Amino acid sequence: MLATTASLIRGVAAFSNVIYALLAVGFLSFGLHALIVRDSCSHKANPRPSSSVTTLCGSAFGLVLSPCCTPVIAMVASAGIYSSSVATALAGALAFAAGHVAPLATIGFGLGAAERFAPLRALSAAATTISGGLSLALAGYYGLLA
Amino acid sequence: MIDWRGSLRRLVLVGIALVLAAPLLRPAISSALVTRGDSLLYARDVRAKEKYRLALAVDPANVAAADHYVFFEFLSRDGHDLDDGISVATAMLTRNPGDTTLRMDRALCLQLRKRYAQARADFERVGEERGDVQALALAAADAERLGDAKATHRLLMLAHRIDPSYVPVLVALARSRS
Repeated sequence: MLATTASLIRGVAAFSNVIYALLAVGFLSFGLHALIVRDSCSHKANPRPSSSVTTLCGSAFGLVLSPCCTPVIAMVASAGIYSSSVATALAGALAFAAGHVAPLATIGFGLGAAERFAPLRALSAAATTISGGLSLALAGYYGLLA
Repeated sequence: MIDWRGSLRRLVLVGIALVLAAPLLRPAISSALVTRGDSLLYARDVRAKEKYRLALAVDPANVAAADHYVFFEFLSRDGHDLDDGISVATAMLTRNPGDTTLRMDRALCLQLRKRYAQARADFERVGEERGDVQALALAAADAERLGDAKATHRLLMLAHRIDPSYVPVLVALARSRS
């Protein structure tokens, strides 16, 4: 299992710079989009984000392979390969995915609920600017790691 | 329609915020780069060196980055890289003279460059400061290369007192007696 894990880590590391570069470009695009493209009519009801932006964000977060996660992913993959049970492998992958997505889901649902309250709608613009800024910071971070 | 003035204002605001936050994040980013370098090193990827160098550039006070960088240079066994590693370690040891791990890395590089007197001094200091038998044995080997039999014997005896079962020291002591 250790040998398989090592070879998996080596395999992931071989193209990891591409993943980090893609993440950097993705976050840069999302950040610039959030900061530049803004509906100038503040009285207009908040539109749903476009499907391309949603896909971009989802892909970026889904592809996150930070150095600390790589061994965990490799171990989950190795456990899946070596266990005879498909259910065990699936449970491991789902547990990792759930843990990874939980904070983002909390933020997403929390923000959605908060936007229903009129006084908090004004904060939506600030939240977009902050998320755009954080995306640019993450773009720089992943750019350095690439 | 894009409101360019508003966009520019937001971009400037975010830019200022990031510039202000950057110094606070430097140690964390530098550590992440070291971890990234390690993952590349485990995959035997030479790009690890770039990441360690970048980690040092981001946070010049990161001793772990210097340690990993110097050790990578030691593994390369190339003369130019070894000299580079020695200079990086020397600069960092000036600020952190008590870091025995980095001193050990520098000693290994110095030994490969056949600068035995300096290597011996570093090995001896590491051996004494952390009771490291291996460092003392290496210091003894360097003293022997320099023809200092008295220092060789003293270092071997010191190592033997710390760990009487360490085989390289036992072999060297037997050889020095014969």
